[in-house]
Amino acid sequence: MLDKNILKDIFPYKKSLIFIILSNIIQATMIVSISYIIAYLADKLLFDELNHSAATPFLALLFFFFVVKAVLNYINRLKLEEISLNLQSKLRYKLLQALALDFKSIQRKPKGQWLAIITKGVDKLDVYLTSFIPQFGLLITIPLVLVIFTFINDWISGLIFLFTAPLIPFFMILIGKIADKENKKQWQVFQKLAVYMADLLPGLLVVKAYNQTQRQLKQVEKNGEKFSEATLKVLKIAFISAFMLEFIATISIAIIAVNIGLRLLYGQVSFLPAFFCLLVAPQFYQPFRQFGSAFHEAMNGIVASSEIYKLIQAAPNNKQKNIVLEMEKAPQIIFENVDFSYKNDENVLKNLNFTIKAGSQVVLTGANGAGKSTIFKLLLKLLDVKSGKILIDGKNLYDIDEQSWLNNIGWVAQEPYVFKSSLRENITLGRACSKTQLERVTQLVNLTEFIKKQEHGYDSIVGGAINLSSGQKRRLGLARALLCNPKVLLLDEPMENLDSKNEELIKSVLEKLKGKVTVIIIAHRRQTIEAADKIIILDKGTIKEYGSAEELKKTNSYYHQLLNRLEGNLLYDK
Amino acid sequence: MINEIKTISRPVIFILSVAVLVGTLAGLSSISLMGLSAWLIASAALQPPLYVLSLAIVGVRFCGIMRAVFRYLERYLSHKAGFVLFMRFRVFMLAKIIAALPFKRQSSNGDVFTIIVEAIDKIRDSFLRFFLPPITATLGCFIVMIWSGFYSVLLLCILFVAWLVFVVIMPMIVWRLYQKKSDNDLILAESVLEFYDGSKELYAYNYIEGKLKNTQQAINDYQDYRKEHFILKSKVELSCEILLGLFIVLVLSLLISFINDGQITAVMAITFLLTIQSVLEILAAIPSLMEHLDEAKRSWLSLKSFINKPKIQSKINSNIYLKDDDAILNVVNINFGYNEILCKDMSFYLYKGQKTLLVGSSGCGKSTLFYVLTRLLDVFSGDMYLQGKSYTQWDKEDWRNHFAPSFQEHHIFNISIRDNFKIFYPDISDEEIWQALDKVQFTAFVQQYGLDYVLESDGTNLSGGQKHRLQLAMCLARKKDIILLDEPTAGLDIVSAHKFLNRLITIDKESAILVASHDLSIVDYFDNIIIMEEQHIIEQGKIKSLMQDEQSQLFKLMKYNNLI
Repeated sequence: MLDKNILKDIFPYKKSLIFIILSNIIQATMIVSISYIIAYLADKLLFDELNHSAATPFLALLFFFFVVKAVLNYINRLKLEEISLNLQSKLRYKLLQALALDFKSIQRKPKGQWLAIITKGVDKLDVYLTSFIPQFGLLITIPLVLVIFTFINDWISGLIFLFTAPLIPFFMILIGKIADKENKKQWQVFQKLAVYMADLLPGLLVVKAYNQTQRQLKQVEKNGEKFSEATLKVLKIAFISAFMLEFIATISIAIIAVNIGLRLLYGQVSFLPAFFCLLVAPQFYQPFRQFGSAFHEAMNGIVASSEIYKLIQAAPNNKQKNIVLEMEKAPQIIFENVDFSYKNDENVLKNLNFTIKAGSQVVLTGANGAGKSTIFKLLLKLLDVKSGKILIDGKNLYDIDEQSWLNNIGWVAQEPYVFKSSLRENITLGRACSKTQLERVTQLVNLTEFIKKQEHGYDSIVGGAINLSSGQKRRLGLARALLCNPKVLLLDEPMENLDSKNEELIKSVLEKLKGKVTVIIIAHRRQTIEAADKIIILDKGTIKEYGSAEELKKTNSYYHQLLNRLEGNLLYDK
Repeated sequence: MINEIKTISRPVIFILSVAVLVGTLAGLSSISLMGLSAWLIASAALQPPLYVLSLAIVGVRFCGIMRAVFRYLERYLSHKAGFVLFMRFRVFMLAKIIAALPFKRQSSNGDVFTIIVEAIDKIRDSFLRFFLPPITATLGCFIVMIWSGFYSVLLLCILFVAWLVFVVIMPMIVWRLYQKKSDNDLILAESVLEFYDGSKELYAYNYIEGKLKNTQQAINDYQDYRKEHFILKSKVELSCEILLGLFIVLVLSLLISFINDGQITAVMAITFLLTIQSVLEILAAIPSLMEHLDEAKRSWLSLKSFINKPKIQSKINSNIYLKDDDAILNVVNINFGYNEILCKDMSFYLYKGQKTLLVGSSGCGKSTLFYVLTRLLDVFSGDMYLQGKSYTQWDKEDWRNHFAPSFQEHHIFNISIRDNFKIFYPDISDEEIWQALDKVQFTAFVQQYGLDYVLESDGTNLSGGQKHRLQLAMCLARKKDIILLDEPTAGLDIVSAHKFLNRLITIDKESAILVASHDLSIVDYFDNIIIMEEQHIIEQGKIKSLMQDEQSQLFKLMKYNNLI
């Protein structure tokens, strides 16, 4: 019921929490005072004369107590919200951190799930912290104070309070256990629905193009119904438990009213304490009722919190490695008997051996699934080799510190991701650089003019007013990679999908890098392949052919066949 | 809009009205419970006849039980109605959104959609919470008002004023205050999506911590936004509590003077006091509900911004192209785009059994043209003739039935391979699926895993090429008059790409095929070419004849790319 992790996280705020408990007790005495004044006035009305001027100070006091109670409640809430927001912000930060590294795991969690947990999931903790925990405090303080005062006034009513009160937690626990199970189920259904919607929506356009909209909408309806059913099930339980609480509370109030009424009739009790008890009765049960409803709302929060902490704790942490690289010049890269497999499947890379000379440009090519992207992932330290070694200037990549290695390489994805931030941030990605450095790389990739045309220059926000074409994205990615003078450059199909102007530009950039940077390119296009120093043709995880374009052009080589197809000689072979 | 609300809510009107009734009864039971109890105790002190007292006792118990029962029923009914309503609303909204597709920012469709789902959810929650309480509170309050009116008009007036304050004036003020608050709700969602989609870049450039620091601002903004709202909400509750105290004191002082005037008995006064106190407590909870209405409104606005597209009509005088009755598709002088004109004056023909290559740099409007041809996007002006009939005479769905388009952002669904096909062709047989897979040389993979193999959303467990081939197979699974392929060879290795194009030549001898590509090296596979540059067509015609003309754009481009 009280999440251990959350308790640990709110422990530092114990001063505020103590304050809140104290103010709860004061609030409880306010309730007592208000009830007592009203009872006193009623007593006077019934049995004495009460003129207006005699009543005025009491009325003023009554109003004052109302205000004090309200103000204390207000301060309490603000204090709690402060704690809650601090904790939420901390958790969101940690979750984003976990999310940033989640792509390294083999089975990446879907986007919808992350979104649900970081926005709504953490939001749900708010109810837990600002409603459930204080209600928990009120549950202990208010009834306690009220019971004490009731005992002083009328011990029989006090006893009724004491006897009926435990019934409430008893039922709560009983129902809570069932509700817990249903809640977990509902959360799963909710997540499934979120994943389903996140999956469906991007596909709607094609669905529309194929005239299948109506069918999909029906499917949405069906899936939504499942969710509604699950939620209603949980709600039913919540309602039944609320019903039981309400039932016990009202019956108890009724018992007290009837009991007091009868005793009054027989003159066993005087009016003032009796009426006080009646006024206090609903206030006594109210925290239980509110706790009950807060409990069910908080259940969602509890389930979400376990999910949140699970995600945070599962985040991979970055192990520090001994060798910190400081590269002066382009390194030589050697793959030595490298084997790799995902999980326990068949090896994706089989006993791979090749050497990439310092400062040379090498193309990896071959059919889909040959292992090109896996080689990139190994070089980016996203994966570790199963056996064998990758040597960077003789040092084993496995032992090299991740950050120091990454600082030396530039990587350009097939479609570089563009963040919704300034052009400057998109190029620097947080790395310190001078203005001239920045201008040099934009010049190099021919983006200077484009950037100058923008209203705010480098500070223009991409994604808002500016949308980049895929050629511009590629050039931006290249600028990003070249900014800090990388010693190794990894390019994933740099020419694919580009028009001739952009293609030409990237070619010229590569030309300039020759000898200064070790470049590895995944490519399928003839021009790119031919321009490289060495070509590695991969096939099912092994090297099919290796050598320079000249060397590979021999008749009957695999490469030769590839080229022939390109030249169109084999176009119509059937 | 009102009509739409009517249609959506028609099936639940009955349940909702029952819920209102039951809710009012629950409120009344709660009010009577306190009133009767007060009467019971006050009069017991004055030694009334026993039968009166027993009656009151039964009444108190009855009210107690009824309150619990009614409240249970109310919650159950209102939630049930709420869910039905929500389901209908969601489907209604999705239909609207689908009708508004494609959005301008195609690449971020996914993000847009997540935002939409969130907004729909919020509207549901807010509506459920906001809708019933004011109605039941008002009904309960008015019933007590009538009752107290029999005894004193002044009491009736006070109750009415309280009702006005809590149900009309305060909510209006609170509503105004909410409208002044900024709207920062989506910042966080955007950040999450950035971290998801850009995580590789963040990793490779050691920028995770740096980006987190920047994102801290977004988190803080989001929290500030929530905090502002929370403070406002707390202030509203604070004022309500103080006002509640004020009204109770006022009623009490009024009752005291009534007794002094001999207008009512002390017993009645005490009964009134507790009755009215219960009513006031119910009323005082209303102003803080405005929070939910505000949330619903904000969500509604963000939804509306997606649904309502500005329509731009433009008339551009252009050269008149002639209709060619032999062409299956005849496009004449069309202008199109999203908010502004993207492509001007495009005219071309597609013939049965002929393959046309559409080349142009990225962003020149090739992909958008495909949306226009499949009538997902309307043209601003111009005409399109399918089988000699103008598009204005075609039903949109009938029109689309003649097309098999493959877009660049062709989504792969998180279901089995077979079900992915069934999304487009509900009645497709396994045999047809295998044939389609064979057309794109994807049988080997599927044979290994089976048609029941569940693919991940967006095909993340497939390599780029595998994904691509599957998409193409889906597109080619049924014979259609016109096949539109956007970059069909992207991500394929050379061997596969050329094998695929080879197949394409042989598989569909009857269909007209239009392929958008930037890759001129595949030109030999095609009969006709359309070359686009900056918003219009700069050249089109038979490839064979253009290649013989050294002045043609095609010839120059081929030469430039070392292809000839």
